[in-house]
Amino acid sequence: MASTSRNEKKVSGANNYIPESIVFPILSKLPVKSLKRFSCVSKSWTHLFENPVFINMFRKNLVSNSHSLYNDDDDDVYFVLHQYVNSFRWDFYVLCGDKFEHKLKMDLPSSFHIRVIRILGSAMNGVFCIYDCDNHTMAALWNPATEEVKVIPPGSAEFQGHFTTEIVLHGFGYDHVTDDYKLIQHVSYITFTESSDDIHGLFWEIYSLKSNSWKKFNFDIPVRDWITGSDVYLNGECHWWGKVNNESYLVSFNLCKEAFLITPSPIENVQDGDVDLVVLYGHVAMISNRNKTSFQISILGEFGVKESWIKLFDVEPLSGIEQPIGTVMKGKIFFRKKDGELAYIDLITGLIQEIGIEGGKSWCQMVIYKKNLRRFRAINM
Amino acid sequence: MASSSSNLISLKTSDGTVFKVERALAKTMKTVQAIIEEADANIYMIPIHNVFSHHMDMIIDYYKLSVAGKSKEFSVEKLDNDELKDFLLAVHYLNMEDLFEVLTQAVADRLEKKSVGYVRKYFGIENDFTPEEYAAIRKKNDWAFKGDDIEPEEDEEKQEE
Repeated sequence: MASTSRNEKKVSGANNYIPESIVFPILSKLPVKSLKRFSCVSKSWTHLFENPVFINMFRKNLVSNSHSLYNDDDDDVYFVLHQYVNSFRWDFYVLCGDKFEHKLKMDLPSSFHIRVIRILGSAMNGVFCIYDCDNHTMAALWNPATEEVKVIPPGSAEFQGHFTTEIVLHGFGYDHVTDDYKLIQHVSYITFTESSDDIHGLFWEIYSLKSNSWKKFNFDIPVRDWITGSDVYLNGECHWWGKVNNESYLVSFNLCKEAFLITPSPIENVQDGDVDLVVLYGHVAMISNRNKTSFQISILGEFGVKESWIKLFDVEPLSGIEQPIGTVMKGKIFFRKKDGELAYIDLITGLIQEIGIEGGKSWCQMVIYKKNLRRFRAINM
Repeated sequence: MASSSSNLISLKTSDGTVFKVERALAKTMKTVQAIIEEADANIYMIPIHNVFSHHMDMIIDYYKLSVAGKSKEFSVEKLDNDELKDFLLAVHYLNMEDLFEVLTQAVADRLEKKSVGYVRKYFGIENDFTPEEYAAIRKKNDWAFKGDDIEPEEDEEKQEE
């Protein structure tokens, strides 16, 4: 290192070159927007995000700097595993313990008679939204800790002989402004003719637990590309992966304002079902699955801006990973492997580790759950 | 001359001041630790280049706070951006991990809303884009320049006058 002169210079001149071993640790702590602006500083800075040393540091800072929404240090946070056993049986388990060594079966409310159940999104304040994923006509809110079940009343969809009614639930979330739980779904009527499928009567509707009713509205929001695709909730917004005119978008629906924003996909030619969403340290992230063998994990720096997708990881094809479960806890992203075993990728080291629990041969769901003994019916006035 | 077999290590800063610090503090400076370990006999005075006495004062402050479990109370607010950079360079030279993380975060916080021009000056980086190249990359990242809290670019401000 060059020695400074002996005079009492407190301030450095503009010609004092700062080495990369200082520049990178500083830059890796900046938000995506600043980094994208500073890509105009010089040619080498344009390629920051392609530099593996830099991306490693950036990733580690994401993990250590952000405060997880689920308070990872909280002992009350668990995983709930939803397993497909056979076509008549779907089981729910709570996984607890440091190595998830305790698996406790959860009993579904007996009042809920649905054959094929899925959890919509994730648990919101200890409340699940479970629904029949056959045709999305039955849904309920369920708080296992208080054993409350609230069956959601039907919306405005009509069922008539000459057309098929398709309902697709898109999101479940919490409006912190009004202290309300909300659902959003899309309804369309399809007439099948010999030459084409005629889709008409499209509308969206939002359900509010407080009013216990659905409200219709006519926004032009891209629908999910894949009926069983993932949706996530972050900061009052429900996010899903949508498609319109063969273009893919991240759709972000704000439950409080009841408005939406779309962000174009960073990759072209996304096939239906190729993308899973997950919340990663305060950012919406996408797990994209090319050729069903390798995965890429990218976070979104700024909603609405295609250029702000930052690729964090490439997951090796040989890892045997088949289905991203898209759940993140304590710096780990969970997947299901081809043999049904659950595994996670450690976001700091990039290592893959099995947890010794089987997810199910073809499919499973895993959500983060925090017990809440507050009755949600208490907010239904 | 008595050898420093005591728990105090003598460090001499660039401006000639001698600081007697606890061995434990010297251990947090990997550069100093390496010098001590390499010396055949007990070394009695270690010169630390690029480190001024006002830097040592802050380093000792930080050390005292962290020993008391109060490292979060350490603040560099009173330093301007260039003084902070100098301090960071000194800590980097001494190879002090924890304080380095604290200072790089402080610098990052200060630079977050700054302009491209400011950042170039700060890091002593030349603009190696041609005007056309710059225009292209500027346009591509236009969204990152928008926002009331973002420092406007100097040359762009001039253009509007």
